[in-house]
Amino acid sequence: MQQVITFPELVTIMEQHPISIASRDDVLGGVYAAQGWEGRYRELMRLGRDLPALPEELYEYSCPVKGCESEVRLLLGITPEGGFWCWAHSEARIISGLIALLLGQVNGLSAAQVCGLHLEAEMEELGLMRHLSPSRGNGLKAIINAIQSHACCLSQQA
Amino acid sequence: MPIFDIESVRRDFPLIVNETLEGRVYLDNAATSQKPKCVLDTINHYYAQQNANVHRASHHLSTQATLAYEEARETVRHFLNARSREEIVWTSGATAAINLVANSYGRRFLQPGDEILLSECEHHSNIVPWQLLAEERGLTLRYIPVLPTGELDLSELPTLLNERTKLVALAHVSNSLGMPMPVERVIAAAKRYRARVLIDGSQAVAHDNVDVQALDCDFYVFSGHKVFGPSGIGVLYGKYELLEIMPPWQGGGEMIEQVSKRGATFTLPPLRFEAGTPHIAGAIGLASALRYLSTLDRQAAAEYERYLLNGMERLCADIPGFQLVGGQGRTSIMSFLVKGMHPQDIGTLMDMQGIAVRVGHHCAMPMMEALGLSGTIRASLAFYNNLDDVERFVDALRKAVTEF
Repeated sequence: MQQVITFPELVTIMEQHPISIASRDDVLGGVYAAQGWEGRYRELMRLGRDLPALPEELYEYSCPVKGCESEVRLLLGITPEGGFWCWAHSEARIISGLIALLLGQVNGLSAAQVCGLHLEAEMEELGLMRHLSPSRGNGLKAIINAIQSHACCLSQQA
Repeated sequence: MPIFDIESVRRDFPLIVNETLEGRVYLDNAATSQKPKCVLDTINHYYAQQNANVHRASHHLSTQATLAYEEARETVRHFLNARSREEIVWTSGATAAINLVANSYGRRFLQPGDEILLSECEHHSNIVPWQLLAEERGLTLRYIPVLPTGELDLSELPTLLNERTKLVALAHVSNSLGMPMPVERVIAAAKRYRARVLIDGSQAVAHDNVDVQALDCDFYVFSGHKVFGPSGIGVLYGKYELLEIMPPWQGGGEMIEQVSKRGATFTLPPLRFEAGTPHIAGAIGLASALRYLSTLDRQAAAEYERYLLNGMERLCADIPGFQLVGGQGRTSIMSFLVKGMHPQDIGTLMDMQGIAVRVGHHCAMPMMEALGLSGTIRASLAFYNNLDDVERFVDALRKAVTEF
């Protein structure tokens, strides 16, 4: 079962994720600018290659998001100031690239802000909706559900 | 190139014609096959002109539906060369057929301490029902190991089979690699210990004729959807003397002889195992698919599939990092990896180019574990695929590997 990390020494590491609201334009700009599906998927694969895997100390607390085609590790955390941070990674590059797109929308926002986001809209805008279809056992939908359900739950507690 | 009128065959499959027009290529035939027009027409005709419940009423439509339903059973009997149509039980698919044997034969006749022999190459559908049974009845499961070539290592058979072995369940052809399994040898060895043998023919029936009497297996199962028939219908063949002593698994409908408040007596096989209203349209649709196959020269079709598979392998050989998984003699399946790339990425990049392949563990996780793999990419052929499909697949794979 997914838990939300609040240990200060771990959330300090989580806040270091290179992809956040603050860095999104620099990191994700290439995907938006890419032309055609080939360009977009090349950018996604590049993003996926660069997405950091969970370091050992975080991996220990992360949960597998089971899928048929590749396994994703996921960890959620909240800072004392209320910043919501997510780490996720897959060995497959395209799914990792899609994860990077998600992280660029949520990392560093408050739980309430994340709860109010429509994360699928960005996928739709980029023509990536096929990755959210229920027939794809890749867990992207499960990651979105985990992020949003925890964010909404946390914002109600706050 | 073998003599096989591929263009005429292709026209028989409306979905393949449409996919070609849309610029897509279907190479996921081991997961499910496409249906010839005669199957679609049969189903349509059934609902438009014959639909009624079977084995229940004496009115005109019910008589027509029952006749068609029982004729379909005869078609399956002929397809498998079973002795009688009473040996053919309709199920919802191969999975349900295996579960039927596990829950009926297995629960009644297997005792604590008995052993079931499987292979490491089995589809989960031919593992999990036995695991559930083993847990309930205190049985031991043993597995014939797989070699890196995808072949079974039969050198251990003499120790794996013993007087405690009561049942052997084995695929006819492995679903993840397409390797034909040594069913004849295993059946012969099992007979020496009087173990019953179930063969899962799901990946075999679309590519070759099957003769259950020549095989001399006790049970043979397959799914309709993998042999150009509808989904939701499948077949359990069982030797009548076994079916006759097996208790029903599911109750209700026409499987009874007499029901009182104190209990019930059951009718003879096969109806004993067909509780509830069956998938009548599925049964006659499947028979239509089998009749269609009987109009083809199946040997020529199999040779043609081998020709396509060999061509595919040859054209892929110089793609950087291309690694074939499995040895020689595979049936219409090319399972492979590309060094340095995750199978899921290849699958996505193939899909973006309109090529349908399957990626992952192919519901055979114990086999993937035994081979030290987390999954493969699987392209699987049917006789309606053509050289153009193969070339488009190879071009798309080359592009996925070299341009991303």
